[in-house]
Amino acid sequence: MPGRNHTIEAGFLDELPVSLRAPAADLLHYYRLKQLLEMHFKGVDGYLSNQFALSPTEWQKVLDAVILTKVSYFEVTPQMSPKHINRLIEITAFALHEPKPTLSGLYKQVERHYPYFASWLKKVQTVREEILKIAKAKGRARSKA
Amino acid sequence: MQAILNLNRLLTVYTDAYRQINDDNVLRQHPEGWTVHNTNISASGVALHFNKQFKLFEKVDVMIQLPLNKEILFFNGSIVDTRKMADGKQERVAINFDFPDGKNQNKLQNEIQRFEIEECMSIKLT
Repeated sequence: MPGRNHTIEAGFLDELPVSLRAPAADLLHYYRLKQLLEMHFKGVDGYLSNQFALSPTEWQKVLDAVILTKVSYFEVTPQMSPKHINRLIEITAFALHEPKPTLSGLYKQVERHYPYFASWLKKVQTVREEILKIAKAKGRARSKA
Repeated sequence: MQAILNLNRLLTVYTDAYRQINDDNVLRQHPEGWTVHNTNISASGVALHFNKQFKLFEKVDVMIQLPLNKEILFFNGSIVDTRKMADGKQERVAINFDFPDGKNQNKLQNEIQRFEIEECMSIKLT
């Protein structure tokens, strides 16, 4: 479960109709990102389908919103491996139904309605630049030696 | 014959208890001997399965080693919940970190994040 001391993008969940909020809260509290993605493809598990009577399209809608909220809670730092950062971006693109996982494309989609998510993407951009800088500095040090 | 067998069992129980006490003290310095638990963990607490009992609100030291850089994080914890497992031999012990050091907490949080993303690497997004 995401800690309560994290800032998250609440916009995606706010948009959900009232009937979808309880399942969304359950998904966000008790499932890991991997499980959310798996349920997106294979359908939700028995517990959830017993608890909440939603149609498959409604579940997809809830899962998309929850995945995006969950992604926004990850704190991207230069210590993270670039592979993992790319993966997060791919997952974001997937949940936003954006065919190409580019930062600029995603930013355009969210900048108007989801300010925190937009700033999260900006953070990713700066972190990527920092990683590049570090890599370059390392390369230079190596060529000197 | 029965008496010898039972004595043996009794002694094993006793020595096992002492061995655990000994482990708790000696292994502090030897992270390579630590056991790996599959746990439910967050930046503010952890739930572990033990075959020894703890009292509620007992103070414990929690030491966690990160897999990548072998760094050891230290937390002061207290027991907030104990629950008997279905097999009757183990207890699920929930430990809350008391006033955790922000730095350690961030490191743990980052490790949890890394784990969560690592898990997702194998999923095909189509």
